[in-house]
Amino acid sequence: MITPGNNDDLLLVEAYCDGELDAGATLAVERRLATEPRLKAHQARVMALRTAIAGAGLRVRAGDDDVRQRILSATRDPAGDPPKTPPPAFGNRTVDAGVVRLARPPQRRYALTQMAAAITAAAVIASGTTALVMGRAVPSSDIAAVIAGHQRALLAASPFDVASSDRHTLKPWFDAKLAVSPRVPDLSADGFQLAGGRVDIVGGRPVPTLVYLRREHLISVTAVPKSGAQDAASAEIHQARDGFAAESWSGRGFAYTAVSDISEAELEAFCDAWRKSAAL
Amino acid sequence: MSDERRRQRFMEIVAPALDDALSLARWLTGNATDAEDVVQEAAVKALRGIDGYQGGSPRAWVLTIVRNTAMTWLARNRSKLVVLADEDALLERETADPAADPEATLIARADAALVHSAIAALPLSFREIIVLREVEQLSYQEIAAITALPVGTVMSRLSRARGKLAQALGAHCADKDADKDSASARRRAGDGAP
Repeated sequence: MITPGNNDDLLLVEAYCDGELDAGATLAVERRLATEPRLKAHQARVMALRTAIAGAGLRVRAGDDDVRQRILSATRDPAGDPPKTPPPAFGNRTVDAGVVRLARPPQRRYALTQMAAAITAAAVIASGTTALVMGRAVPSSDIAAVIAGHQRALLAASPFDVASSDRHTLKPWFDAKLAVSPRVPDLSADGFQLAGGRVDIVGGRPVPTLVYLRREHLISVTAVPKSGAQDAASAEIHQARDGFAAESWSGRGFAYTAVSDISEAELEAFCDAWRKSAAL
Repeated sequence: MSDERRRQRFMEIVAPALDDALSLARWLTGNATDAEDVVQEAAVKALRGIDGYQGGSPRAWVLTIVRNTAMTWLARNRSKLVVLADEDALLERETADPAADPEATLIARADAALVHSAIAALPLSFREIIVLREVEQLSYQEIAAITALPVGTVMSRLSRARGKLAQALGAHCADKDADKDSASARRRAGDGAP
């Protein structure tokens, strides 16, 4: 007996198996699975199928450096359809360094990791920025947590917990919520709109994060309260991770980290404007 | 954006997703050689269009380009395989028999070669959904965005693709069991003979 309702039930079970349901719907499905053998059998089938597929090794591991190199070099010199202007020599050399590094790795499986590391290193040098490792404002584990928070925010329904373009709304919200009061400069004159704020977790502690908008791009500024006498010290670190750029600085009791997918030059401009406006 | 900067962004955004790109292309085109052609073409497009990347998941952005490139490539080179006729209706008919639902234990026993051939045998519009979900591990929303389909269509195609795979894997394993049974029956008969 096939009715539309029955099929919807099965879709619901599959959405449950795929982890697509919210807590309420998950609970409802789990209750029904316990009492309806038809749904339980369908769940068992879907999970068995997923196990069979997962074990079948369908993923292509491009551990084959030749393939990777052919693909990447096709973008450097696409046959018959070259880019309008050839990349400048310096850019070429940067990427070549990455590819050459990749050309003879001792273990092929790690080629991508090595390439990524080489490229990140080359990118940092090439962009002419100096990583001031001495007197780091923010430990790298915190930077990773801040970037993860930014990424999570992009995936969430809303990238902030409180939406406001008014710094006089945001500051009291953070005061009340976290009992900390980070700087909330208004940068609309510089082309960065304040959009809201949220609470991120860094190093196991809830910390305030400001959200700015540049065109359609989100910029998160996470402020980690600092203990110790490093207040006067100020350091900047540029890191590229999963396509995001991060910049850190510190002052007045907080270590700030800005994360965004805008270009590094734009992020630098943003951070400069931020520091100027906050008088740091 | 300068060319140097574009290339840098390309290496940050596209290069880490190459494995995913090759996996998707391999299952859409059916073999590794064609997959490389498709990914190469997609990589060139991605570099040219890197300014159009507006944030969000870099992987989903890359896979959208790969998927569209693969579809164009298939239409150009394998036009006979791209059957855009009513595949939904076709699979609907074939999977409408709930009595044919195989046992989970049979499905779980399927070996890798069987899974490969069952997925390769799926019609393209169902194969791409199951690959995006089970191989690339994307969410319904991401799959809907990549394929430009409503989420409901993604869900029903995924479900029907699974039904079809479950039948293929379950039926095959059931056959094997039957063979084994008859073989042991023969052996027993042989033992009994003088």
